[in-house]
Amino acid sequence: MLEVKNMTKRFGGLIAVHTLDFEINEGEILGLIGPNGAGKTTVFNMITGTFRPTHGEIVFFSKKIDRLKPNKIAELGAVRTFQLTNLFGEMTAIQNVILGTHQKSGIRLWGSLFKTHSTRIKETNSEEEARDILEFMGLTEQQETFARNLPHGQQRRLEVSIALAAKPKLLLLDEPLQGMSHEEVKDMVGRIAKIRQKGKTILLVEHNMRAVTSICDRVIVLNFGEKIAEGSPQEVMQNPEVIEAYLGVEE
Amino acid sequence: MIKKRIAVYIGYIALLTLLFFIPLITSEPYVFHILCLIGINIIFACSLNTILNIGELNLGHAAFMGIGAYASVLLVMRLSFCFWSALPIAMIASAIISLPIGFLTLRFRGAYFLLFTFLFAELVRMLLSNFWIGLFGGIPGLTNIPRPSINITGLLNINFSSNIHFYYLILILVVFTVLIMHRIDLSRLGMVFKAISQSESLAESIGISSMKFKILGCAIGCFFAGMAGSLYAHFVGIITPTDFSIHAVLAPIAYVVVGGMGNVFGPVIGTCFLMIVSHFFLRQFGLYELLMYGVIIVIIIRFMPEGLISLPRIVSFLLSKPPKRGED
Amino acid sequence: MELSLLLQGGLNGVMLGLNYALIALGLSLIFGIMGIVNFAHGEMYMLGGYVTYYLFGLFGLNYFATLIAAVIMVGFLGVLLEKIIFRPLTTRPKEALTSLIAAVGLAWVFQMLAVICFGDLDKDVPSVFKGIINMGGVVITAERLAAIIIGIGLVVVLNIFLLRTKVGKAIRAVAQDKEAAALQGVHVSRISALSFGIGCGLAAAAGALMAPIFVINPFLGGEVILKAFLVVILGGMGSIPGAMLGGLVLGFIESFGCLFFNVPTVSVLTFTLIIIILIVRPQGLLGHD
Repeated sequence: MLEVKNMTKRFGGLIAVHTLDFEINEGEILGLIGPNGAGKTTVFNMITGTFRPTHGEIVFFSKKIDRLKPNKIAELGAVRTFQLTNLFGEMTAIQNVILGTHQKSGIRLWGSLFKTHSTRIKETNSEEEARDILEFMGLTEQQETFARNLPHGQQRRLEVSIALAAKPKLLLLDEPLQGMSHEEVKDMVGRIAKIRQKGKTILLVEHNMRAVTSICDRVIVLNFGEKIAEGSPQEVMQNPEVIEAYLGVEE
Repeated sequence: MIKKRIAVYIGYIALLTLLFFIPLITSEPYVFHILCLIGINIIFACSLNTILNIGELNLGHAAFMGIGAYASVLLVMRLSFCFWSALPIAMIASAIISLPIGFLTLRFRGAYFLLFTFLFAELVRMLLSNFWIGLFGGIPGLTNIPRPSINITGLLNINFSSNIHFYYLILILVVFTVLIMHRIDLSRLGMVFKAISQSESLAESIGISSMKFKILGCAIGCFFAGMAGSLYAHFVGIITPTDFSIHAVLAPIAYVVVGGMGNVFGPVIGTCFLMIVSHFFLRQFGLYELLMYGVIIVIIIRFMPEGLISLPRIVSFLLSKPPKRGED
Repeated sequence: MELSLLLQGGLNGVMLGLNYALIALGLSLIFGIMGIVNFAHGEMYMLGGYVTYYLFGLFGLNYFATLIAAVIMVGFLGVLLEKIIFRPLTTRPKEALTSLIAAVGLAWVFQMLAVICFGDLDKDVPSVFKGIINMGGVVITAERLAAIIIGIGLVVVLNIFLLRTKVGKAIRAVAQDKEAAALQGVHVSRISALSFGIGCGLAAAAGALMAPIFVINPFLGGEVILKAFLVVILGGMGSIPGAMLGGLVLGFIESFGCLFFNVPTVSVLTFTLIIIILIVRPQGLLGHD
């Protein structure tokens, strides 16, 4: 589904990512791990269009996406979440998710101004979709709460809800478990598994190794911008290079 | 909820009726002169608010008011259009001109956008002051701009040289403007605007093109700025390039900030409040109007950044019991 | 075109450019450290001029002492403003917008206070250095030459301060990355206040230098702020060398332009040129980001 070929990213003199190659297959959960500063978020940013690779190309469903703007890439079906909490803080949870549905909702702008009949139907559909997603993510009670007032764990769930609303084919999750309690982690991991069951493909960046081993089909390990290992979670965890890369890094 | 809604509607209707019948209380032209100016400023402040709501501050916004003004005046005085067709054309012209400008400037963020619009405003002012003087009238500008009139023989004959008549025209247009702004605010479009101003990166990540909506928001703002410009020109009768410079947009910024930025009614309240207060001060202290504006802006921005419109909320908050944990 | 005319233009360009650069330096510094677009910056320039008028012109204090006094007094005012008005705004949303609006309000307040306190008529500050220097057909008053020399001196002092002293390095660190600086133990809020003060002080210095050359009135600020913004955009927001370069470039364009065209044309050309430069290189000549 997604192919990354020879991807390199240089910031001035610093090489953040170096000739990276990998593939994501449809229906799998691929983990992207590595110590801090390994370049994981840079890879994310390049796939989703925030940065352009200095060299190399990214192909998504046979289409080259490395020169496209973020909103175009999202339109094509690759949607991300962010490492630092990123929400529409001054709006309610359900409004946030409704915005997620906007792009695929087919609502035309003039229709929304004059509230034509077809627009009203589409808006109702959007609302229903949003409610369904919130229910799926366990946030039904928090529908009308302002996003900035939600506790951290629920905010993270809301972020995933918004991404889901955009009907992605590929979901890129950037450290979704960050800052969560043990209970919340278990809950979220279960939900991620359910998302895959619904037919989505997932690229997951995470530091929580237990979570990674429990749901990822495959794992890629980055260190200093280069791929140092690839394989099943068990294989990768026993790879001596991987262990060395993580030595001294607290979990 | 429905009760509250009905109460609000009744409030609006009462207010409008009151405004409608002001001529019964007084017929002093000066009062209506001020009311007309307030109305024009309300329209301009609302248009500025639209742009502020996308998250950007456009110092050049008065230049678009100027474009509307000059376009309208030239259409009426040089090409013999009647005011009623010149007005919409001027508004559309202002909006259309804003499209390439928006495309060029909105790719910059924050401070750069600000400075770029600053440059644009100065450029427009200089062009109007020093070039094509035959057309634009140079620094002295254009004078003797006629008031509009309606002349349908046998049916209707209204001459708007009376301030009272112009007042009704402006009242209708202000209501029109506020209604449309409110409509947009409540619609999906308004929601997208708010989203972009709160987190552009998130909006982009779910497929929303922030450039497209910023340009659209800018165009809508300039559409109404053009209306304010045309009305101003035909009301005051004289326009000069400095009327639409950066300094002209600073007071309306104050109106919007003081009134409250996120809300449609913020600019309305802010404009009314500041303009009325300043007129009383003007009578007593003369040119210290600017000093008062400055002090009020600094105080409000420092202590009540959401503007006067948040006053009821603040008051009710202070009067209510302390909130439970986890609530707003 | 006579050589002497060109040289004259060049010399005028240097003086003009240096003046703009000094003002813009403060503006750029403030923006670089705190992200605040200080609309009231022109008023600091104006206040520097008035301090010079009163201390040097009326009370007869030594000119250099007056210069230092102007910098310190206005600088102190800047520190106060930062602490009381701008600092609290950083904790609230839409900070760029609110700080801009606050600065606009302050500009008006200072302008009007100046009118109330000093009256709105132009005032003359007596010359410090008398005489005219003639260098082979190129003429410059001693006053202007002194302004150039002192101005350059100030810039040199500023550079030494920023590059060599501990505080200067702290300032540069905060300008580059606030969080990283804080992690290194830099007291960010104190540095912010200090930087604002220095920025305002620089504007006041420019005002003090120009006071004996041009007249002063309460409305100088409004005229000056436009030029300052132009310089900062041209040179790059937050870039100190950019402000220098931008100032000189603007000074030269204006000075040479006026040899060939009339003032309005020069202005339009300058603006168009700057707009083109911005489209091609939006961060300015020396800006980053």
